[in-house]
Amino acid sequence: MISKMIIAIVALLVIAILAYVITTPRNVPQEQVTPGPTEITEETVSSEVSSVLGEQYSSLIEEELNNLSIEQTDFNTQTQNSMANDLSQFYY
Amino acid sequence: MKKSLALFVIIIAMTTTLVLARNLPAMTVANKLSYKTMLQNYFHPVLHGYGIGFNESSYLTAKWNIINVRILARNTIRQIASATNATDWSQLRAEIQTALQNSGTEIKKGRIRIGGTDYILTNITVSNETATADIREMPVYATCNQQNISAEDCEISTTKVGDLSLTKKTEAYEDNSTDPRVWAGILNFKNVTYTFVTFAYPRW
Repeated sequence: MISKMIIAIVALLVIAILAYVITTPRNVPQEQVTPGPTEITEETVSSEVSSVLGEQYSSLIEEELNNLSIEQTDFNTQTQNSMANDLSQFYY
Repeated sequence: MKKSLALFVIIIAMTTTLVLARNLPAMTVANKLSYKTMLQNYFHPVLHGYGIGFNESSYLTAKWNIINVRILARNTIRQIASATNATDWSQLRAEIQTALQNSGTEIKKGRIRIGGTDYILTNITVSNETATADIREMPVYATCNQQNISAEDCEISTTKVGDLSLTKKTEAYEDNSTDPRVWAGILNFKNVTYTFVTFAYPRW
């Protein structure tokens, strides 16, 4: 009779210990994240433009700005060539 | 009497032609290209960008470019050309280049393309924080040159179609970088006022 009670108590202790081990969160060390410099990306600049312009223009603006940015280098080259053509006429 | 007078006029005309054409051969396309290249060496980008102007009922897109250009007064160019002993265009070009380097004036010139059409920017002011300019129709430089009008007078003789006034609104992460900043302000164009927001790429 006493041995059955001891077995029951041991069984209960084992179950309690297992339950504790399973349910207690493990203490895993967290990786330290240091805030780095904010890069100026097209996305952040676009959001700055959007904040200046207001919500209703955001999608339109992003689309137009994308189109314009693609052509900007060509435009600069064209205008500088054009200026050189125009001004050089006055040098001879 | 009439015959001798005619002969005299012909001789004078021929002499004048020979004197005027004494040294330099006819200018070739290559010579013109060389002048253009020489001038482009004195172009320094200042600020360029692209943006959108809008109001309650409409919008437009624009690309713009402002550069520093070194120029010579038209009279100075003429004096160099008339005083030169050059027998080749490259020699004259070198003389002009020396004068440009030593006594040239640096001014700002600009272009803006609105809705696919090019206009010139005149009366340009640019600082680290603000930019202003008038927008004018493109002049016909060749006509001005033929009429002995300087390039600058030629530009301000065309119709003013608007103006631009901008202020820098954001900074880039690094102060001296050429990353774009957001500038915004007012664009008046053909009697319509737009709020103009633009990326601006500094090159100073």
